[in-house]
Amino acid sequence: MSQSVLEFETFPGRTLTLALFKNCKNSKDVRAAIRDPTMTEFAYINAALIVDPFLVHLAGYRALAAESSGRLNSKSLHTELIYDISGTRHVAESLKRFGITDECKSLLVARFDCKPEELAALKSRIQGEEVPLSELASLADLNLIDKYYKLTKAELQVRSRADAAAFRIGAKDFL
Amino acid sequence: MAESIEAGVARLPETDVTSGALESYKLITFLGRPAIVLTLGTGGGPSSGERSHKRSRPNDAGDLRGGDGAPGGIRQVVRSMLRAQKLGVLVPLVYDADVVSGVAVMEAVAGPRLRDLLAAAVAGSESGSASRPEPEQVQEQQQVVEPSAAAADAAASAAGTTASKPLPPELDRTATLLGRTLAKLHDGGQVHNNLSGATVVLRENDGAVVLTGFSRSFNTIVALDKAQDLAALETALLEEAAAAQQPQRAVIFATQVFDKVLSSYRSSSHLWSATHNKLADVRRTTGARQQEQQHQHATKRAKRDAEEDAAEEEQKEDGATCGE
Repeated sequence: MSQSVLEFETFPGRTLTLALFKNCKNSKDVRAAIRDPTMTEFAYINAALIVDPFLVHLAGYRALAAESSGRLNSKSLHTELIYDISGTRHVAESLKRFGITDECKSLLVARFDCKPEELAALKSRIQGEEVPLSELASLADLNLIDKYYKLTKAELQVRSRADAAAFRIGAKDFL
Repeated sequence: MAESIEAGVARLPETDVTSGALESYKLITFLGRPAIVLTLGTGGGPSSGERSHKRSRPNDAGDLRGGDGAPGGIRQVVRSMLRAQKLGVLVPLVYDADVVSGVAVMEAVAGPRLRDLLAAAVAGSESGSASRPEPEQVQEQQQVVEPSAAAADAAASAAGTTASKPLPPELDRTATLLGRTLAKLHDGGQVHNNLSGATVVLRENDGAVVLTGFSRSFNTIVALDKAQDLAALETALLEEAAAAQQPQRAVIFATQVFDKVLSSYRSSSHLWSATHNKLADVRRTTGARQQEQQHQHATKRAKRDAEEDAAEEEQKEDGATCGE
C-alpha cells in the first residue's frame, strides 16, 4: 500500500500513519478543512520539505514524548508533530514553514493511531495523486531544506540530507 | 535479573559500541535503527540519578562536569557534536536529547575502534621478521642513553629503522582519514580534547572515520589547544601501546600511525604552521613529563628494593645471632 504505518519501541500500541499525495489541486480547501472541527485531526506537512520518512518518524517520537511528559509546545499532538519536524524552536515559524500552504502541490499527511475509515475519509477530500512514500525524495526542494535546516556544504559532503536533518531534529533543544 | 544485566552492560567500558568518557550507556533499537542511550548529566550538578549505575571515569581523564573549564553535561556534548557535524566531521548522529534528564539517544556506529585496528595489526605482524631485530636495538639504546628514555624517543629511533616497513593498508588509510578529519575540525575552530584509540571509530560499511566522546570538546582558534589535541592523541596511542601485549611492536605501530596522521593533517590543514610550532613545544613538555614520571617510578622501585634488601640483611643477622 502507499501509506505507511510506523511504530514506536518506547510507545507500544501507538502508531503513526503516513500518506503522500502529489499534484494536489485543492490545497486551499484542505487547509480550510483543518479548521473544520468535525474533521478528524491530521497533520498536514509540506512534502517538499521532507526528504525521508525517518524524519517524520523521529518527529512522531518527539511528539509522543512531549505529550507523555506533559510538555507539549503546541496546542495538539498533531501540530506538535509539525513543530517537531522542523529544525528550530520557533513554534509559529515551524508551523508556517512545514505546514501546507495554498499553493502546495505535495502533501504528506500523518495521523497518530489512525483508523482505516479516517484515512479513507481524508483521501476522498484531497484532489491529488496518492503515491508511495518512496517518492518523497523526488518531490523534495533541496535548496529550501538546506536553508530551513541550516545544512552546510561541508556537512553534505559527508552526510546525507536525511541524517543531517535528523540530527537537527534530535538536537533541537540545544540549538 | 534485568537490573544486573543492565548494570553489566553499563559496566563494560567499551564493547563494539562507541563511547568515550561516559557515565553509563545502553544499546537499543530506536525507530528501527541501532542506537545507544547515554546519560550525560545535566552539567553543573550531580548526574541524573535514575539511570547511571556508576560514577564518571576517574578525574585524571578529565572531569565530565567541567573541571577543565568545559561546561560539561548534555548541552555541551550535543552542541559540540553539532558544531563538528556542520564542519563536515563525522560524529554519531544525535536522535534525541532531553535537556531535563540529561539523557541522549545517539546513533550506534558499528565498526572497530582505532585501538582495535592497532591491536589487530600487532597480532598480525607476528610473522613479520623485519620487526624483530628492532626491539633489541630499542632496549639497548634505552640502557645506554638513560635509564628511562621516553617511549617517544625509543619509538622514534625504532621508527627510523622500520621506516621501510609500511603500515597495513587499513591502518594507513584510517590514519590518513583521521588526519584529514582533525584538520577539518581544527580549521573550523574546535578541538576534541579526548582523542585516543577508543574515541576514533572506523565505520563498518565504508571505513569512514567517526569521532566520538565529545564530552571535553570546546571551541578554540588558539594554536596551542590544537597542538595539545594532537599531542594528546599521540600520548594516548603510545600509552595504550605500552600497555599492550607486545609493547615494542605496538609502540612502533602507534608511532607510525601518529606520524601518518600528522602528515595527512599537515597537508589538509590551512593553519599548519602555527600548530606545528606549538606541537614541538607540547611534545617536548609531554616527553619530559613522561620521563620524569618514569624516573620517579624507577627511583621508587629502587628505594623499595633497597629497603627489602636491608630488611633481608637484618633477618639474616638475627638468624645468625639466634643460631649461636
